[in-house]
Amino acid sequence: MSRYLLFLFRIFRLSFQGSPRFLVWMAFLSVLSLIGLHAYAEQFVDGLQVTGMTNQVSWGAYIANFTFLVGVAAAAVMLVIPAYIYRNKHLHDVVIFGELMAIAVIIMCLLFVIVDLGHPERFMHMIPPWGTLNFPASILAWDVIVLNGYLLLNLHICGYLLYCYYRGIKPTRKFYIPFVFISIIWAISIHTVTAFLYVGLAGRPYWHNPIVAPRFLASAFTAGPALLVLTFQFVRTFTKHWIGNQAIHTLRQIMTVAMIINVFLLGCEVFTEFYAETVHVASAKYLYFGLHGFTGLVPWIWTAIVLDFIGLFLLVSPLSQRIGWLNLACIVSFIGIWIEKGMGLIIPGFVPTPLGDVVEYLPTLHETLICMGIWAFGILVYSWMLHVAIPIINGHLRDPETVSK
Amino acid sequence: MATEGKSGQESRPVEDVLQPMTRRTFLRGSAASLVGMAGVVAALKPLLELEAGELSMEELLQRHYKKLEVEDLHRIMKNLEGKCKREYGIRPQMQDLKPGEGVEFAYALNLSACIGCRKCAHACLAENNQSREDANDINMSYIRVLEMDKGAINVEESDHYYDSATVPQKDKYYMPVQCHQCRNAPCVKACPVEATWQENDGVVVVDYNWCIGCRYCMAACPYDARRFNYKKPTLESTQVNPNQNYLSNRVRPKGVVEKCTFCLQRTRAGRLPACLEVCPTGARIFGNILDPDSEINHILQNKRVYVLKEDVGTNPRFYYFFD
Amino acid sequence: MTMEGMRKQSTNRAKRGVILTLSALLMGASVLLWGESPSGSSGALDQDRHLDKNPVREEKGLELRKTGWTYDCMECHASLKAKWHLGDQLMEHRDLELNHGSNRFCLNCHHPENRNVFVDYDGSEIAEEDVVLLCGKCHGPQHRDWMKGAHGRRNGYWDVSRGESEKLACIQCHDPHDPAFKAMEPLAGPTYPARAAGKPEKKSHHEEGDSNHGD
Repeated sequence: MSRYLLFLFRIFRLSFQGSPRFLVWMAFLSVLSLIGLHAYAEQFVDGLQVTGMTNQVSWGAYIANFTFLVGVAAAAVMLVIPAYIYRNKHLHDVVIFGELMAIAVIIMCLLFVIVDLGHPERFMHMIPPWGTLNFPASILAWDVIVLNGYLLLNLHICGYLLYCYYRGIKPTRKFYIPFVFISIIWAISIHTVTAFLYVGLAGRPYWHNPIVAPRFLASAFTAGPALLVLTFQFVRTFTKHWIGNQAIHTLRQIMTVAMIINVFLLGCEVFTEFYAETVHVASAKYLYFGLHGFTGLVPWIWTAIVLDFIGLFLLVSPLSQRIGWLNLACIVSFIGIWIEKGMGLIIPGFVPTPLGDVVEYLPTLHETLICMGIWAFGILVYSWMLHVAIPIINGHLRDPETVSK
Repeated sequence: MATEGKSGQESRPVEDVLQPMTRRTFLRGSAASLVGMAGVVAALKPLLELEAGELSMEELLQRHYKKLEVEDLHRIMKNLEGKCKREYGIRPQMQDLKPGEGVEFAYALNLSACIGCRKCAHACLAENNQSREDANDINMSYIRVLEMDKGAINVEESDHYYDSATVPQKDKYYMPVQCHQCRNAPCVKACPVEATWQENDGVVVVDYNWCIGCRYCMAACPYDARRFNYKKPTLESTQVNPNQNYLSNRVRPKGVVEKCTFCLQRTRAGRLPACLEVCPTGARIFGNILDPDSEINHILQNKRVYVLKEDVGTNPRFYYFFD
Repeated sequence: MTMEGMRKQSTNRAKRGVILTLSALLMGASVLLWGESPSGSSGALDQDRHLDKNPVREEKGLELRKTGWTYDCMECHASLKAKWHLGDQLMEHRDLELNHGSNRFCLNCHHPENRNVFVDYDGSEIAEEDVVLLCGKCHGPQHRDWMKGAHGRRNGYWDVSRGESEKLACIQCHDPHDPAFKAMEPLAGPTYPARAAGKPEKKSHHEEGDSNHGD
């Protein structure tokens, strides 16, 4: 036990030590996080009136970011499948980076939900036996369970493996392999449950169709690996920890297939909405062409579609075998899917309202600062985790008792 | 061999990964921590402006309405009465009326009689203590009156903002929509903390001290019947209706969802809802659907009623008919 | 204290006692006579002052009686004969316009001999307070619906075991000589939320040429 505490203490000390570039980076992210915290404190006092949300559009940037990031968190364990199921040895080393990213991203998701609540201090109303969790009827109750479970799962796996590396002992298979396999299924479930949040609402025909959940997964498995590909190159450059090309190659293949499916499903959606023009097409019409003179989202969605197609073309063509083009593909895919899932999915579900009222939405400065703060905090957490995990993985940070043996 | 640290140094022995603690590093660390803590305090400064009594331990530890003892509920209601007096200048009489035996409410609306005057929407505000910026601000009213084109029942083409000189306009008809207290309510299913549920007389209520403000119920409602308090309600003391009920029209705090409760502070006392009592054409009919002699049963038996969005499967208690 | 002072003190005390007792009695009496019970009776305040429950034609109709107007029509019509058609009036009823659809004749409703009452099909009298029976002569379905609460507004209680369900008479909403329900000015509607993006420049959506009705 005391060795574990010493381990934690040494991690703590290591967190604040590093090159000047690292410290400046962390300070910068801390400042952004504090700005977001300040904006949130004002929101906590004044209420959600500081956001652009209204009775008509009652979910906005917070839930949009939450939905997108759940997908990224799910896809971060994409590497687990080839590594553990297909026994791809090259990937074993980098799987942990994906799982660490999943932890950081899930924390961001939970933060985005907390800032969206009208009464975050009442969160224990969800925890039995004090609270009442409306399980299994409420999909949001399911989401609370699976997201927190996913966080605990990844914390356990990464924590256990890193501690074993630190101690220089071989990890016992039964303490992590079953959890790794569970995490594969759990990763799919967190994103499916998040999709079902929307699919289950029969009053909003834009969401009430079966294609939402598959599209969620397809777009998540494009955006998540895209972020991982970019992150691995940051790790290569800034920490001199080498990540092999095999990992990036595998991720690229996953992204390509997922993007093809994503664009295909987009085509299915567009056909279903617009071929037989029912009254239910109103939300899609608002998104793609504008409705009753309101066109706020039209430039956004067309940009997203263009970006998606550029990404698809780059991924499918041999161009993306070159790292520069691959990076471009990752960036455009990530941004395109972020727009699609955020503005392209959440907001049109509320426009028009079920009674035909059209009210548009744009985030306010407060909302933007809070979103920025949470993103900065997530990147801060992930940078910190890499900063302490890489020395352990490399063997530089070791239990002094093991070293002396 | 890869190295740690961004300066691109060569591999260092493990003892050097963690720099030794010297006085210099300790002072530097303390200064940085102080700066960090100061930053956090500065970021949280707006919390000082929280109103006294807004976050009370008592309210935080309050249990779900269904688990409250009678004495607890009375104490809570007394506190809320005091809070209303402090914040809005009027001490209300708060009660907790229970559903009656053998009573199930239903509401019918005669679309041939409704002229779209919106008196119901305004009366709703006067009765239920919603937030309003001025006397004409009915955005938080639970009732939305839709001006519809004759020849179809298409809410997508409706106009909520009509302000013609007189109503009814010749080529339009008018359809007020409020919470239908659905028998298969999607909002009740959606709420993660069971802060909203259906009572025995059919009314779907919200425990405002339990709601966490996630607004999933608002996303779930097919009739756009719920409203959220994005801020603390603005209400003049002259606008406060002192006849209040814990689960319906007491003045809500910010950050919670509210909705039409069929005026249960009136209807559970045997009276008619406010929207019905002001309707100049008598387009609204309310009553106990379990009473075979009630007016509402006369409508259901003798008029051709339909429900809005029947295909969504909500099975509402609110019926529309043309006469 | 002197004897004088003590006597004064006890007198003052007695005076105070009397005053207090009298005030208490007065307050108790006033509560009984005029005040409401301290904590709500069944939870319903009887003055719905915040709700406008006036019927549409509040000045006309039966309220005239309440202002003390004796309104004996026979004062004039004992000598002036009743007419079937509405022609040129001399002094009274100049503002009358008969716009009752196919009901074109005065004597369809007004009794030819006794002008204080209305007339039934067989010539018998319908008293003024039974005016709904007069309307029901032709408007049977509405009358039947009105009896059952499906036509016209009810006020008061749905639970008639706890209070009355008050009906209105036909003429409290419908002018008997021009019964079509009058158009009203609508009250203020909702507004585009100030916080929301995309605020339309025009004040209301109900304008010519706007794309609200079809794309």
